[in-house]
Order: sequence, then structure tokens, then C-alpha cells
Amino acid sequence: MGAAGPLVRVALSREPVSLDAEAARLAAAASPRGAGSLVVFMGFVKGLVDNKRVDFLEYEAVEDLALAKMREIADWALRQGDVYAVEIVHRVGRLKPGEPTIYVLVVAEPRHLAFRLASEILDRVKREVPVYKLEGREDGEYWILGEHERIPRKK
Amino acid sequence: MQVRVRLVSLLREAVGSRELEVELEDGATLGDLLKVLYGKFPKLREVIESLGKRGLDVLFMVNGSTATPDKRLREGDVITILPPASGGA
Repeated sequence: MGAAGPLVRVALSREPVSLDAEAARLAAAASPRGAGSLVVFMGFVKGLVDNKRVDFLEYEAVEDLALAKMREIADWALRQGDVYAVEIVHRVGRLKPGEPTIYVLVVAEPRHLAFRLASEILDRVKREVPVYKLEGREDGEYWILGEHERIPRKK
Repeated sequence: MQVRVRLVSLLREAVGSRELEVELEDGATLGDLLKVLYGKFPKLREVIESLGKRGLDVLFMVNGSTATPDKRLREGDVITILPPASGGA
């Protein structure tokens, strides 16, 4: 894989990421080492859930624990084969429909490994990283816990 | 001794604060801390119990590691109470 070592970045961000810039950065760094496949997953806020209009999703994280767990997941991914780069960025703050919520970028060979790892990284982030969301809909606000449990927010 | 408790999501809202300093006897356990917390914030106990009834058990972390109620606490420990996560897409 070369002397420079893998490229890893995990972050929580209030601002969106430039996918063009990140993809170009990772491709430029990994290409000299023989990599040629970059997979990106980007989640974004749904504007309609249970047939109700969504006005916002507000994400909060236990920052130190979230970053440590994201790093653990990235390090796990790096050990799964010829993996050159892993980047996981989770947004925090209040986001509107259509706005990005999470980015997972993986550079790996062969490409099916990159596709598989992007999916598995996302699954692990959803299950293990202490990030929580509040959903604001036309019919009220809901704390979301786990995959899809909704608890109405009492005013 | 003093320990710090961190809360998120609806647990944070039940207590009205993201962080609390709690005074405990030396040698107190996580279980002792929870008794003190629930005594001061019955709403927190109510929320945690109702989550449990829905299969949404909370996890207790002490200084970044999961812990059970018998875990002995020390001055300056940070205890985080985590409901099931809802991050990702």
C-alpha cells in the first residue's frame, strides 16, 4: 500500500462537506499507491416521513464518545483488506430536508470491497455512534431513538 | 466526592441540562449515583423506565467504557447515560 499509510478522517461538522474536494483529495493521495475506486455514501434529510411533511432534523452528539466510536469503526474498516482511505463525517445541528446528514467515503480495491465497506460502516455508525435526532414535522416534534422509534416531544 | 453526569436527547430535556455535577459519598457505585439522580429528578427515572418498557434500554458509560450499577465511582468520573442511538442516514 506504500509508505505513507492509510488516510483516515472522522469528524462531526455543523457545515456541509464539499464532496468534490474530498473525493479529489482522497483520489490524489491513493492513486499513486494503486487504488482506483472511491465509493461515497451521502445521507440526507427526508422531507416526507409517514406521509407527514418534515420541517427539520436536529442532530446532537456526545462529541468525545462519538468521535472515538467513529474512529474505532474507521480503524476496523481499514483492516478489512486493501483499504486505502476511510472518511466518516456526521453533521450536527438543525438540518432542513435535502441537507446532507452523513458522509462515508471509502477507497479500497477491489471496488466491491469499497461498496461493501461503505454500507457496513454506515450500519455500524447508525447502531453504535452516540448521535441523536429530534424530528420536527407538521404534526409535532419527535425524539428518535434506535432505528425508528418515535417519542413525541412534550412541550 | 464529585462526579459529572452527561445527558442527551429526551433525557437532557427531562433534567433541563446537558451536564450535572453530583455529590456522592466516597466509594459510591453507579447504582448509588442513579438513586441520587432519580431522587432529584423523578422525571428522568420516569423517562428511563418508560423507554425500558419499549425495549429502548439506556446504556451507562463511565469515562468512555460501559458500566453496570455495581461499578465503583471515583472523584471526577464522567458518567454518560445513552439511549439507543439514532444517527446515520
